[in-house]
Amino acid sequence: MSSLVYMYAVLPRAVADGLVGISGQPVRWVSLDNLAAAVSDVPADEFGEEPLNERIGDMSWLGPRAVAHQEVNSELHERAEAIVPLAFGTVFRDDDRVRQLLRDQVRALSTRLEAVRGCAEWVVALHLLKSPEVDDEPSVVAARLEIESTTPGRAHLLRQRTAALERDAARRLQADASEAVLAGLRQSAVDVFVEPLPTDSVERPLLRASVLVRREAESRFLDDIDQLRTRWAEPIYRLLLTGPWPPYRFGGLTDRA
Amino acid sequence: MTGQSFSLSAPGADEMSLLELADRLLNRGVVLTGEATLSVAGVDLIYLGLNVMLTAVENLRPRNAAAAPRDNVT
Repeated sequence: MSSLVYMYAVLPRAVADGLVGISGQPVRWVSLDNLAAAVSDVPADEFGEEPLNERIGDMSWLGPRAVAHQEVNSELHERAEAIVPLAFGTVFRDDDRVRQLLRDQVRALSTRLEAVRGCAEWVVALHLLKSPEVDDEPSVVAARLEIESTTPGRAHLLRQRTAALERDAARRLQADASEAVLAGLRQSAVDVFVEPLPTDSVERPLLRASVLVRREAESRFLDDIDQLRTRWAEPIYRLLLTGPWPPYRFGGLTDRA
Repeated sequence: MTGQSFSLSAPGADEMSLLELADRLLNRGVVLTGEATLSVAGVDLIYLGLNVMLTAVENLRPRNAAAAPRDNVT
């Protein structure tokens, strides 16, 4: 059965032996000058372009392979100062093609390795559980007062306008919450990337961001998260955090200063 | 104190983490769409749904560059 070469990550040098990759295959290294790619062999009948595209939407196929991919990168991330982890499904015909990539992309890869050196990535999501209270918002207070002091006919019209004001005020408060959380994340982060939000989802968060944090600043970052959770608290908001991840997002971003 | 943070390095990652994992690893291809049930290792996950496309896994390719890491496999 013919095999292909699956690439997990690029590092400045080989850091570990004996790691096990997808489908139990040993992780090995393809090195060129100051770059080393962690790779393993995968079967062509699963990882060729066509079969891969057919299988990637099947979570029972993807699940264990995605976990294996992450386990390799997590191990490497723990052992190396710098790592550029790749997305799932980065496949080459053979080792020569891997070396060719390292040669062609040496500058870009070296720049990215430096950008994420000593860092981990965290994912933060701010969810809205219920609409924030608008009773104290000046526009709403003023409109309600006006309703109380006017004729019944005019009060009916004003009530409709007040409902719109209440919706606007709620939206404003939600936007303020997103801004404040974003500012809070930036306090101890090296970089923050605001993720595009899903367009068609009932549980669309107000904000979703990837945050690059120096490993040595992690406890400070987690303290910041705790403070944000206290300020933007349930039952109105919920702040979710996952990490530390190898820098999948920041290692892959192109052309960022 | 950070009860809702968790590491995904451990095997047996839970349901939420698998969704997060797919999101991280397929970062350009995963979109959340309507309701869906997917089965992972025999466990039914009910969440917002993964609609995965593998159109751009070449995470490394700089803009306007000809060389793709996924060069490949025809």
